[in-house]
Amino acid sequence: MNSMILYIAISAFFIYFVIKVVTSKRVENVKCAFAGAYDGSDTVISVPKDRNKTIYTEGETVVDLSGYEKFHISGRSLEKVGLPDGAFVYTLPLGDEDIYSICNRFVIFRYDNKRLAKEHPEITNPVDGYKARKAVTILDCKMKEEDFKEKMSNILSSDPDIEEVDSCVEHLWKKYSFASGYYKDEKKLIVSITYKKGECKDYSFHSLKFLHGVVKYKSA
Amino acid sequence: MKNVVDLNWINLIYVIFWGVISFISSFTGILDLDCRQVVSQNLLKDVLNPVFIWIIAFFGDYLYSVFSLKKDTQILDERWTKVSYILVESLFVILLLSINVEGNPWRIFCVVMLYLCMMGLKTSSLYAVCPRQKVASV
Repeated sequence: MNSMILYIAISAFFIYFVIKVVTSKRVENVKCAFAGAYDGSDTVISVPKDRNKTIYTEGETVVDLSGYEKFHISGRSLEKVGLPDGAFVYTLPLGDEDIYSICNRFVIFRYDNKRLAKEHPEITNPVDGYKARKAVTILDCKMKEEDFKEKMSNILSSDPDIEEVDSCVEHLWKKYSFASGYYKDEKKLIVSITYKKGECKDYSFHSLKFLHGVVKYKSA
Repeated sequence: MKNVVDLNWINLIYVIFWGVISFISSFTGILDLDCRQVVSQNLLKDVLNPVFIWIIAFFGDYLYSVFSLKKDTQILDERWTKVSYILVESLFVILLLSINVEGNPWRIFCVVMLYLCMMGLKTSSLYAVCPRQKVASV
């Protein structure tokens, strides 16, 4: 009788242990890309892992995303341009592609925390993470003020979200001056957009060195 | 290989579990280390009948997986579907062979092959239906 109880107890413990191990391993860690400013949330999220490999389809066509890196979009700053909070995106490094091919595409940058500390010393919670942006164009790093303002005026005047082009160009010239001074060894800068808090459109300037990947697909 | 199947140990344990269950229930003598069933003259009655029932059960399991597919969130993996066709065809060919072969080595060979195909069918019922993620190029 005693040995029977022992067997049952051992079996129950074994079954509990197996179930515990099996259920605890069924998650996949996905890196977050913050659309907009870093909000202090986790830079990696855990999502339930499927039993089988996932098959990706665009319409009825099967798409092979095995070489792509997956990111979870966190934040609403790109919702207006079609990348909502909580979407998954699949990226490839730029590789040998022409840098101008990223214009009007979503891109993922690594945070440049040294620049952040210099440009925004009030931010005290820098992280080693990623941010999502929509690339607009590529500019030379050493543009003269008049050339920059003419170029940006052309871009902003065709942008229905920008009401006061001149003051916006002036604001962007300050941001560009800082970026071109900070990245003085660079030849090009990437101009990208986000919508602060999902509302206020803003342009920013990034180094090619911090371009992590180009978004090729997003979850539908 | 990783493109074909995301091999994980939970699926592996699941298939082995059903393999052991079907093996023990077909070869009841194996619990007493008695292999006479395989080499007896009543192979068809003693072993192939329970094996055949397991084949039908695994085939039914496979069909259930395929027909209960939810189109919006699941999709059939073409490669595993082809593997399933080949396995089902092989099962019937080996079943026919095993009834007609004479000599213990051939019988044992046929039974082993039947089991391998059965386990293959069980595996394909796990992998033929995959989760589907709809994506859009941007």
